[in-house]
Amino acid sequence: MKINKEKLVELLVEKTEMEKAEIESQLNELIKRITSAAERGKALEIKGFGLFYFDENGDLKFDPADELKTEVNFKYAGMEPVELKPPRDTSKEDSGEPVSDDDIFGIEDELIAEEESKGEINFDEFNHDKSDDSDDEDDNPFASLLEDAASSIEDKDEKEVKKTGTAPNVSSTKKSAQKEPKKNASSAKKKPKSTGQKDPVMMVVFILLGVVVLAGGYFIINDYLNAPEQSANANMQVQTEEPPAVAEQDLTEVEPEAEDTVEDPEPVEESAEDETPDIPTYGLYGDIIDAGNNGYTIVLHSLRSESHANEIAGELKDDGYRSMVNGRTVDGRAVFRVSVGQFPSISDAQAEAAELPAPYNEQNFIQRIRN
Amino acid sequence: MKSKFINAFKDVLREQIMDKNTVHLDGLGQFEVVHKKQTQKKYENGRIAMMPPADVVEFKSQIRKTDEN
Repeated sequence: MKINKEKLVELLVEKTEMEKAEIESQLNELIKRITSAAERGKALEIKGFGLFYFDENGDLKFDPADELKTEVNFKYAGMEPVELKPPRDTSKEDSGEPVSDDDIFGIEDELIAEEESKGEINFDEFNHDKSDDSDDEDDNPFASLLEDAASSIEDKDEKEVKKTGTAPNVSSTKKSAQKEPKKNASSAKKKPKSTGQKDPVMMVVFILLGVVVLAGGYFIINDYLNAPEQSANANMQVQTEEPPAVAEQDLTEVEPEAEDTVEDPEPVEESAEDETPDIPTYGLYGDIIDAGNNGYTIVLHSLRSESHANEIAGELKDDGYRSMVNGRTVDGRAVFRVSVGQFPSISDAQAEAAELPAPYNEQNFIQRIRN
Repeated sequence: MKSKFINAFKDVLREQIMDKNTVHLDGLGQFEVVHKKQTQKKYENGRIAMMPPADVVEFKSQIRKTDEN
């Protein structure tokens, strides 16, 4: 529903019982004071409502007061940001055990190639690597183990290659075989091997698989153990990042407030209002106290029928609650809200609302008391 | 300016804003409540957080300083 100036004047007349002409002149004067103060570079605050000022671009801005912000956003009050994806701490992995991933996966690649060749391994290739290429020896810590196994079967292996005739240059030109390991691997696939030659190789395979599984398990367990610490640190960081944002908002509002004390048309009355709540007039039970009507109440019912609302309020009063009925216009329709209690703050009202009997403890909302 | 009028003005505007009504004042601007959906925010340190939804008061100005109303 849209409230224009005419409708606002009607509401103000109803609220203040002042003459319509007087309300209109007061409203025009207020708008004039807001714009003139802003044009002079000053901000004008209406306490409990908000602050008007011109920004750097010359646009009139409005910062709602904290009370108004809280009232409007009461449904989501207390909700904090939730961190979604804490980044992994890679420094811990670097400082872990001195295990070389390259070595592990390099060996594994060889093993995969061996498995693909259905267990047929060219031991000549391992011998060449051992004897002629020191770099390959460094990369493969198990080359010495393979050397023993390969040396015992080297002669037989060469004979079998000659019989098949598929790779005649492998045994005769060992250096060319080193330069083209892929060709050797393909030729090795074609060599017939006896099952007895697989035993030492299979042992090495099992050992390497064990090492890989243990290393993988170590990293998984390490990550699992570190995960709660990371999420805890992340939550702490999010919480610690929030206060500065609030503090900045406070600062932007505090500076204009100093100017507003000059501009605010009613500083004396505000201070008088602040002194009255010293009397303990808030609570859930008992009778409604006028001095407590500047606080908040717990709405339990919102009804179209005023008589029905008064009837329910009476029942609640009989149960000992401070009950009241307030009429509102929502989306152009009149509703009557039955509420209980008078509380100085939203948090006090929420705390009491949680203690109400079912279903009221879950079906309620907080609103400012309006006369 | 009467304090009675100021009190009534802020009370009426607050009530209308709370009831999600749009208040349009000629010569000043328009007040309305806008719902902000939850959003993802990425901090400078790379962390990502889900910001909660919120209902906020927005003011659309009808005047500019250079326009002199």
